[in-house]
Amino acid sequence: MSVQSTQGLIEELSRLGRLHVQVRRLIEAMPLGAHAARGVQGGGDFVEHRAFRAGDEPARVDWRASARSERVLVREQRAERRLMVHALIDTSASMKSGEPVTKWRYGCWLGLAAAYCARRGGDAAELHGIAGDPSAKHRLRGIAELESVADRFEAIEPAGQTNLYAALEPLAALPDRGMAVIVSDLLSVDDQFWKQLAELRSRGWHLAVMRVLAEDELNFAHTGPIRFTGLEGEEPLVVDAGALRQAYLEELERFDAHCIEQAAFAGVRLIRCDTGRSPLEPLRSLLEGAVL
Amino acid sequence: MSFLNTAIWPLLALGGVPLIIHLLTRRPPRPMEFAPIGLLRRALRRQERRMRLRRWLLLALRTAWVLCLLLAVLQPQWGRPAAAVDGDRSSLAIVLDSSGSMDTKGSDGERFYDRALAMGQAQADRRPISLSHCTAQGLKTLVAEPRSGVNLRAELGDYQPLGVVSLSACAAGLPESALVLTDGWSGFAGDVPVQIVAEPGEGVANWGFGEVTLSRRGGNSYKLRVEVVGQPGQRRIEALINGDPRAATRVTLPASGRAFAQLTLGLKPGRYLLELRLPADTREADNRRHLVLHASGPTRLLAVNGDARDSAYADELYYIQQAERALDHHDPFTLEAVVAGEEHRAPLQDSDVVLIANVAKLDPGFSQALASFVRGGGGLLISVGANTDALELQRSLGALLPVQVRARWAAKDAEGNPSKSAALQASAPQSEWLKTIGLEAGGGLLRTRIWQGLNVDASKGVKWRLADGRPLWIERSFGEGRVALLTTSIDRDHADLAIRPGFVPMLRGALRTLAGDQASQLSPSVLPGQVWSHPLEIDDSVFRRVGGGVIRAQVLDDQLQLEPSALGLWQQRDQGLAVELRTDPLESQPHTQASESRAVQAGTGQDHVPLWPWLLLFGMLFLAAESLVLLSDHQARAA
Repeated sequence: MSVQSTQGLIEELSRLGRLHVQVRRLIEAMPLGAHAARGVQGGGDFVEHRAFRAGDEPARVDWRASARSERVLVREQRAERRLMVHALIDTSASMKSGEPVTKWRYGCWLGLAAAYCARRGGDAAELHGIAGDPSAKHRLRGIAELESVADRFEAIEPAGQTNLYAALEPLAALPDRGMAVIVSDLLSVDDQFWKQLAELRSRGWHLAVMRVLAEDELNFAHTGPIRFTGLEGEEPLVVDAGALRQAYLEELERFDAHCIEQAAFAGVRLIRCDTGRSPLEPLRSLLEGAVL
Repeated sequence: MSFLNTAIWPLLALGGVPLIIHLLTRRPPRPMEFAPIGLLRRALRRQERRMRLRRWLLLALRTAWVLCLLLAVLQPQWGRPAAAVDGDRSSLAIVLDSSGSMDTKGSDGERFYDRALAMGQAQADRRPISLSHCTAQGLKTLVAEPRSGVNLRAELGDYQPLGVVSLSACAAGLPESALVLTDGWSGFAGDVPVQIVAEPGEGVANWGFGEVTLSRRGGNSYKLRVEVVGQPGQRRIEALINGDPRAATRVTLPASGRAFAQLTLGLKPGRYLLELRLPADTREADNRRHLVLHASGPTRLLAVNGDARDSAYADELYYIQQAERALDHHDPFTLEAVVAGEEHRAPLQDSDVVLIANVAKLDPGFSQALASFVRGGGGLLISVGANTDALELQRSLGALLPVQVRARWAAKDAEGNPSKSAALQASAPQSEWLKTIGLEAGGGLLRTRIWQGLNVDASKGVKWRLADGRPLWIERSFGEGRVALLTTSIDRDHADLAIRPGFVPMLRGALRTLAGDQASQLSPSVLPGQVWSHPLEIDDSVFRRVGGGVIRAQVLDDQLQLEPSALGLWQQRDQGLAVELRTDPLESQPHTQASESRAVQAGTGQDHVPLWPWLLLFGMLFLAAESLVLLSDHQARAA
């Protein structure tokens, strides 16, 4: 699929109406072989060498290869057992924003597509709605369940405040390692969240954070006096948007740099998503580097 | 500062338009939900001060350029007199400086006065004016109520600038809408707008005459002492007698701008028209002086000899004749002697001074004529001797005697006999008196010895005393004349005064003083604004000016009162009286006043600077600055 057609994908998906149809169309739009069937970890077929990271098991160090390259390398091997993929989609009120596609809908596409791909690759997949309704947790038992799961997620109305740190706690309590794909705008996260991710990573979890921001949040192309209201109960703010644009963009850059820095520190892959751009790009990024 | 376009002052209110626009364009904010409001709040916290500053800067720049443009339309000028603005059509009170310095020609050959008239006429052609001019007599109003179409030259007539004026006094009480037109050489410290018609340094190369005095050097030789004022440098002075060049000299003026020159003239007795000339310069009026010079010749002495002898040496007038001979070529006097008893034939009317020397008794008719002679200005000198009878002297001269005379006295020796060796020495004469008769202190008279004389009762008028305090020389006025009494003999019978070294100069000086120093004189002169007065002696009060002009003198309290109207010599018909109106030396010294007047000029500001181009420039700069701010905002948004 050409880049031009992928950019028109959003409009096409929007026209499709229901979420499960949209996700299916999204999966179809993805090129074949874009993702691996399984995750990458020790214990299976050798895939490649990579640099040692905090949390790697010492037994996975390839000492011979390390001696040759004069740096510590570990062996990446295809996992031999099923991997549990947890797709955590932020359902806080801040996800409601975005035109023509809300961050929430965009996040659902990404999360459901990731779960679908994992399931199709033979791994287990579980979808979590974080914040708001605590019961929004659904295991995708089969590809056929995609419709019902999508319907349930479609029924969720984003509300409340985000507590990603709390959402990660159940994962930390699981006995088996897995993979977590967190879809959120990260606007309310603090350092605890990143520390939690680092902890999970040290325990062998594969982690990817897909930060979703709306197009107007990235460009801030507003002018004139605007009374901005927060979606999660923040105090309103009246400013001359045009005059503040440059300062906002600089602040956004700082936020971006902070996320990248924290993600690198935690050993997490950070994929930045723009609701104005095709979801295929971040999905491809996720699948290419993931163990799905 | 003044404004050329005052009619649109109300437009300045438009300066508030930016503020109004600023307030009106504060639209109500539209609501918007925005998830990353935290980022926005942090950005605002960082930028709030800068944004507020930018907002006020924009408002200030916008207001500044609008105000600058509006002020530029008003065409402000720094230092330009408000009343002389071209566009103003309101009434104006014009005050012309009519001082003598306005008669000076500028570098273009035009008089400052004519320039001022042209400037004033330019105002009169476009607006209603009232007109007055500042003269030496004060402010004179020519057009009291403002009206249009005033012709300045017609109103001023043939008036010519003259004298020293006080612009400050003239400008006192003038309305704000007044304009003083001046050359800036008269000190001025007022709030009234002033238009300086002379450029700095223009017309200062000028010289003029000040005081002129005449003294006699002796015989027919006269000395003129002429004051010259003006710029430092050398000038040539020429003296003409009745139109013929007679003498010339050069005078070098120092930095003070004031010097004296001396001219010597040889003149026979008579009346002369004296003219003094300076070379041409920027002002002609002060380069000429016209005076009447009266040269009377030697003092004429008529002596009544009361002790005539065949032997000249023993004659009472021997030493007087010797003095006349000694002064033959230097300030002489002429001696006409008559023997006592023949005095009634003496030519009293042809005499300046009469000497009564050792006369026992005078003819009563002569005594009466003598009294009239002295009262009319003649001089009388009385000396005593062996023939003098105090009682008869008192009877003959009566009131003419300056003192009450008593008996004669004689110095006596130890045995009580009259003795020359017991003579008394004279004390030093009064210095004031010596100065009056032209002698230095002592005067060569200090060792004079007197052994016989006349006792007098005198408390006033004693000019010289003996060592014991007896009066030796008493002098008093009588009518217009003067009378002197020598209480001893004029020859060596009773004193050795006649052989003292100071005798001849003393006699010469005393005779001139007693004659009222009428030997020579110059006609009086007055300055512009001054009134000349003279005791009324004539019936005809019409004075004519040499070169044209007639004026009638007023009679007030038995005095002729004359205020000449034009520079030059004014003479009464029979040539008996003459008075000159001359320029004030201050008029001829513009360079000494230039610095002060220029200071005044700086304060009142002829050197005006139009401010509106600067305002336009600044307005454009402010506009450009605002545009830059807005452009930078636009670029930031575009980025």
